Amino acid sequence: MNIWELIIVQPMTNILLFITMLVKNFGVAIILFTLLIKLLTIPLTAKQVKSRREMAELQNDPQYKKIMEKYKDDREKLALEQQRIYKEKGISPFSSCLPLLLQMPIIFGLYQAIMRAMASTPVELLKLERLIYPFLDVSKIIPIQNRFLWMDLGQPERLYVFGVGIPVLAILVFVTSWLQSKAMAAPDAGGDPSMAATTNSMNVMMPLFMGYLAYQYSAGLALYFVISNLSTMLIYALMGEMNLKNLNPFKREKTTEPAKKVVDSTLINNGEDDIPEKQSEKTPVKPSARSSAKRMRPKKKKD
Amino acid sequence: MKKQIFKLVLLAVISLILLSGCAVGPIAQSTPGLSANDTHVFVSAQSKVYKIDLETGMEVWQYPVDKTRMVAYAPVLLDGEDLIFGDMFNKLYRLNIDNPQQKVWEFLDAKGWYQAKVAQADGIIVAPNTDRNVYGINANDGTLKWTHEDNFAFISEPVIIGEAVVISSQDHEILWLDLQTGEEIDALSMQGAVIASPFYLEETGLIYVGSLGNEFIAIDANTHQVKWRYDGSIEKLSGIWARPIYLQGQLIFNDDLGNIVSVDPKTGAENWVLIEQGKMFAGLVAVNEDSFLVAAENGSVRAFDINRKPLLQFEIEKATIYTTPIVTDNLIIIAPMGAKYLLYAYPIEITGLPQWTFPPEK
Repeated sequence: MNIWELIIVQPMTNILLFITMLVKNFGVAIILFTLLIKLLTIPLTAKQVKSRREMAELQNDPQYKKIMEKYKDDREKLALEQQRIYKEKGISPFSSCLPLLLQMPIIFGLYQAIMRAMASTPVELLKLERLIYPFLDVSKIIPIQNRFLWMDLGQPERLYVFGVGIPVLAILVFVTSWLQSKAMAAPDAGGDPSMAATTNSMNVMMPLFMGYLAYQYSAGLALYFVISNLSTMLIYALMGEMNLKNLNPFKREKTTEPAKKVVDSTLINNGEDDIPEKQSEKTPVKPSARSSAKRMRPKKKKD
Repeated sequence: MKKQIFKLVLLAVISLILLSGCAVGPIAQSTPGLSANDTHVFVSAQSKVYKIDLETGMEVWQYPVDKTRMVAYAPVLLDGEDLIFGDMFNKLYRLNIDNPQQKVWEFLDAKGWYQAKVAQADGIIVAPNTDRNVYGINANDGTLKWTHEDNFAFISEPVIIGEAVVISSQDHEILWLDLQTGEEIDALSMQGAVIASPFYLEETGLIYVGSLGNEFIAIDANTHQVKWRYDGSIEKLSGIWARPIYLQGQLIFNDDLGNIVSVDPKTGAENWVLIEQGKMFAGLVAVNEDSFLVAAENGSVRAFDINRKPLLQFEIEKATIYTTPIVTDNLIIIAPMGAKYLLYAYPIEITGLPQWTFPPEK
């Protein structure tokens, strides 16, 4: 057994099997286990939300916007300036990715635990038997009953209506993934049309891909996707991060309008962030004392 | 802007491919299936079934010849001019033994994998499937005669005794089905999932089987009642994955911890116990009238006489053995996993040196 299995897969498989023993239903166990994992990772999610919020606020910060505009043709300088602002405001752009990265092993581990538990060949059963901790009674656990509602959790799911197999879970996975990506999208991408276009394409591509996985692979995985999507949306809603307006298909994108709650009212009153692009190019930007001081410093000689 | 979108989309596609690599369903992997007649050995492994000459170890044919997708591990059933086996694409085939391209029929009704060897009697093929069904199929034309549905996947070879099909169920049961209709005649509860196939001994009129619930029992084939239950010197048997052997009036079985037990088949009284090193999932195999072979998971193969005196020991390098070896008139065939070769054929005199391997050593 490798370290990954020992630290991640084995404990997760045992917890999943233990829940199955308690509730006597593998489908319910997958649901409960997914919710449990989601609950345990709430601190990570909260951190992710906080970072995301800070980044979104920054995107609407007039000072940041001006810098973006000013150095749009000088990538190197732009990067330097961005770093400076991040430092000034105490924001780490990667801190929103870090919780997500930390969750990845949990997600993969959970998936592998589900797959392991659904062993359906003697070799797979054998592998499963070896993963089970001694204090759990193997003979009572193996095999796992894969049947849940109309589904065989070990097979791709289809609900047969008049002989036609409808992939209900795959559709649910697509819908919940789409809802999740739309409703949880940042309020504003800071008016960057390329970012908006990318986000829009990702909002469709990801749900399509998730739906494809659910269509092609076992129902147990699809069930996990659905519950995971729904619980993530619930957690974000409780954190006040759901943007239900995004779900309106008739809503027109207002990429230049910043979100009201994050914009400094004094700046709105000054109208500085309403300056049209061409005009803002001509308008000299008043540098902050700190950045002026930086510019006054002599450049270090390169070795 | 377009470049940036392209980069992001490319990154997304790569991530999705990686994700999809992790997102596989239950793995279609099992242990090689072995069968043999007087002249040939047949092995089902991964995407092929091979017919191999017993004398030389040379391939006679492989099926499929073309790029037809197939994953097969179930041992083939040899029936005169034909062979019958199922694959993991839910198909059951009856092919001509000399020319497998000459398909007699295909049975396509199942929705799950064929893991076990099918049984045949009275013109009916009994085929267990992982879709929780046992199928009764007309041997001549491959049409469905009956279906018996249960709660768990069927992965063990059935035994046909008279008009009854006796089959192990993962639902902690042994089932008796009517051969003609598939209806359940009787069921006997066990303490754990039953993976091992039942073993019927006409001489005693008893069916012997072990389960993953630490038990080994003998069942009266007529009354379907437990005749005796192993209660010997091993306080707690481990899981039993294979059927026992009958040798010189002794019934010998093994559990997965390497305990080999000889009992009186009529009473269950213990003759002796041999505690072997290494886990053992493959069954025992009788080499001749007074010796048997043990293949441990770690690739170690040992031979003992009927009084458990060690005769020989050899090892197959890097091998993991789960398939019970088979013995022909003059060869012992072993099909390990992970080893250099798919098959190792040893002379029955047990020298520890293979007579041939398949594929042949270059």
